[in-house]
Amino acid sequence: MTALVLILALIQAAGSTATIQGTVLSVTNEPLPAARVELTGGAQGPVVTRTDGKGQFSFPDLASGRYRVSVKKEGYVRQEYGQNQPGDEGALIVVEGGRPVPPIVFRLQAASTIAGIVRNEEGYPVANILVQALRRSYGVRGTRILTQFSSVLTDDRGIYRLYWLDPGDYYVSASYLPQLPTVVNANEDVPRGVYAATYFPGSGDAVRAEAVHLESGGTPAGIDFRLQRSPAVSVRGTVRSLQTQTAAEATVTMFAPEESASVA
Amino acid sequence: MSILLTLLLWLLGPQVEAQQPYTESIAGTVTRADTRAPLPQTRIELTREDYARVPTGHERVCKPEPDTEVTEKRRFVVTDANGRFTIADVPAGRYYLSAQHEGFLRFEYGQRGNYPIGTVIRIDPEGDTIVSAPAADVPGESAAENTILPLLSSSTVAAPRGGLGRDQQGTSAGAPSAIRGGTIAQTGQRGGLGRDAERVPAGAGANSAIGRTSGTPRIQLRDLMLSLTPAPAIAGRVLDERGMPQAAAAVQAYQFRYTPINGRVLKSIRATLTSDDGGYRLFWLNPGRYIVAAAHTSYGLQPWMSGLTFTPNLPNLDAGQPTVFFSEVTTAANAQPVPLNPGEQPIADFHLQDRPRFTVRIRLDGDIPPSPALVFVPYGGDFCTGLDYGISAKSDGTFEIRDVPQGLYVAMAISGRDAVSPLITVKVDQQPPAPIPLPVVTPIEVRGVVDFDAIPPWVELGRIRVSLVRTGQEVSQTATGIVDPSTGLFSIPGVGPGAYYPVVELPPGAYVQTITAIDCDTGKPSPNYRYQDLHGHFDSQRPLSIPEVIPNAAKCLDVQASYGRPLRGYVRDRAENPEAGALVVAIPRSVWAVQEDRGATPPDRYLTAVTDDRGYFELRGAAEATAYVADLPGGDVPEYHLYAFENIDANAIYDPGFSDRFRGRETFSVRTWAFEDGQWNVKTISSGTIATWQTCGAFDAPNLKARCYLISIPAVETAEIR
Repeated sequence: MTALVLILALIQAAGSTATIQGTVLSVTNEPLPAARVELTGGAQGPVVTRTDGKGQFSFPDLASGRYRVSVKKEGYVRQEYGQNQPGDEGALIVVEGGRPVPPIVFRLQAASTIAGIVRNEEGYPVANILVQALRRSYGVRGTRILTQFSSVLTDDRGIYRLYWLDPGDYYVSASYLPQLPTVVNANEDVPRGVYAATYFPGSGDAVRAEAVHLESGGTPAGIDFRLQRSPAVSVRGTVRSLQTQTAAEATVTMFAPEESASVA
Repeated sequence: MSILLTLLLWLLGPQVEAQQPYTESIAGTVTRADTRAPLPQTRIELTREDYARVPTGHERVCKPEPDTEVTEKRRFVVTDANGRFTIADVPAGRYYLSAQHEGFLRFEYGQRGNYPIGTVIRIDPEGDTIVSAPAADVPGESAAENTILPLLSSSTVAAPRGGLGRDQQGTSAGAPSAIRGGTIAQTGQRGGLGRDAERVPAGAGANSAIGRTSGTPRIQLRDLMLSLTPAPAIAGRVLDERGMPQAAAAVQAYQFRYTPINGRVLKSIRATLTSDDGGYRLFWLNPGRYIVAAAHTSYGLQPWMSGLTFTPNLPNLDAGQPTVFFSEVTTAANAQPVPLNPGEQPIADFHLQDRPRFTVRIRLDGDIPPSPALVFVPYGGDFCTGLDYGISAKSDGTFEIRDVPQGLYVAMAISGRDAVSPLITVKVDQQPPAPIPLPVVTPIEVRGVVDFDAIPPWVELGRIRVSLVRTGQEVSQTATGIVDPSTGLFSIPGVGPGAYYPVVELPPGAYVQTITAIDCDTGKPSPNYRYQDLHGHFDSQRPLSIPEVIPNAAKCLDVQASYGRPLRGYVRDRAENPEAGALVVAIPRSVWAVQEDRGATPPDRYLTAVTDDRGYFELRGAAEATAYVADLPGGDVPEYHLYAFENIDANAIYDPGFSDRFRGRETFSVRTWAFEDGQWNVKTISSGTIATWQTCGAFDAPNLKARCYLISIPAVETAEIR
């Protein structure tokens, strides 16, 4: 009985599959080869293909269902089918029976890059400084907050590149990262200069930060920082359990009241 | 910040210890070697010579906390805006002084080459006498040995030129430290001689303050010049097969480390990510030779994910581009090392090749511990790095690792820092059909006691760690416990099944005589877990075994510590001048005589020391003859080959091929002395390629039964050893 159902299902499927296909182009209509095209919504989980030399892709033998298709390509802004701008919800592609699906054309915008140098008070480049591209959004209480879009560390020449950003307005901050995420060597087991977070063009206060506007494909260089050694203070306290009056294991987070990335 | 504050308080705070017999101030300036500009915020560290350092060549714990512990033997200051520093109230003694600043190579005062191996600074009221650190407080035979050594260093002692078989009288006036006349007076007091003006060692230059002569020392001590060299970098680009730059590819610099336990292991030194142009910079590296590898795997990106946010426009990695070693090979063994010297910036470019990837699933078998995580690292990897890969389990106790490139891996489950499973090897060359089972085992706590009775009371023990180092090449992993200094008790929690070697870090001069696995309750040696060592740290044939059936495991270790004699001598250059800052290495017979005695000599440790400004060295902890089995080939005499180097990476001496490369090049003279008519006379001068204890005739007097062992090694190897 089970076998019969299976066979019937297979027959039905054979007659009712469809293909989603399309082309990935740049906004100037150049085909983009080796773009990563991902199809979601199928029973098997995501299916990934890469575009050929003409920028073409195809997902054959798709059963009836609702699918989403998205594209990523190095140096370009990601795009989902039916999307107005990056980050928005895309549209579903409905496959019904064997009805052909019209070909999709993606036109990808070139992504943008912010680059610069971080120096200290004496003018020497500072390495291992966290540089963040922040975008303004609104928190749950309606307060304006800055959310991180992308971050990177400066190298020993103080150089950083925040690459492949979406076009738009960004606030850029440079701050000290106490815990380096990379494998470090012996030379770094030394006191590191502690620097206050600085927002471009040079304020320690996020409110006075100026937005850097990115056009598609734009690469404004010279988003440079001059860090000040911070008169850093330590904030200490005790968290006690109400029941036992003993020190409790808790995580304490500290953040500025508005428009700032949290520091803890 | 709090460290600095603590330091400041410590330095400014009242010095409660009453009546230091003699103290001195040390001051100086730190500059950049490239621009000569002063270097503020440089950490200066002053350590007493007997400060317990981690033995070279041993595995260190994962991610050690910054080693800033302030003790009586160790102090830190930070340079001011003008690069100046002052360390006040330094008691008499022998010290190393080093400077560290991020982005610069660590520099030790008096160092000769690229490696931070410096010379001793002597603070002494006498100004120009040799103080042998422990000897000051030691009665008896050790003091007797110390009586000899200052004599040799003094300008009244004549050293035969060229060492062997020459006329003792035929010395040159151009060598002020040479012997005159072959006889010296015994004064019976430490440091009694040597008041004559000492020669400042060649090459010491502006840093020669430690070559103290009467009248100048304090001025020099207060104007030490330390010049820091910027640390070099390896740079390059990572491209794919078609030459397209690869963003967010992981690039790592490794070094081969020679460990006494596992031989040559690949140790990750530093890692970074490429930018959108495929460019990377592995910066602030120490000089040396590096194996550099690039990989483009989401797996490889794990360590960075916690700290950094990638742009969402970065395509997910699904093309198989596993590790490529420089230059364009797939294994570390075939990799071409990148030599790195100060001031250089070698380029290493990579082309990543596609290779299939698979999804690996691993399922915990047994009682699932709280918040289990999986360590999944390439075979031969580093467990320390592996902790960063800690992959969390799904609710059903399974792990899924996606995009695993074809290859060999090791997996182990951890809970917190406890190992809760055996280590398994996973070969990934096709899609595994089912989850791989990984049995859950309750880890054990290995306890034990270190017996310090054989260590003289004047040796300060400091903080002693006992570590269990996993044997085998699969992965490097260490579990560590701290020894309670008052009771000698220690405990190493969270030890999973496997074979381990115990390693005990002891102060200079002390060594491990035996380690016996015992029954915790009765204290009797247990047949279930044999680990016994006649002498030294380990026997490669007999690791400590912790089986998967925990009740049978070795749980208690009885460690007998012992204290070895010093080997002392001089290093002179070809012109017979004392050689300061030379690294002296004593390699035991168990290493260089492997073929001759086929392992009959129990393992022993390498001894290392650095010559001070008078070319004098003291290798601490040489084995006692009694520690050797009497009927071994070569008798019951411990034997060492000795070498001296001007500029060598200390790690290189642990290369098993090291001894072969330098065999036959050890040259030194052995002198025996006799006390006759109120003075010491040189009786015999001989040469040999093997250094052994010598009984020195007249030295075996009731109060002078110490063995006489005086050698001189010309520092012939000036080239850096690779």
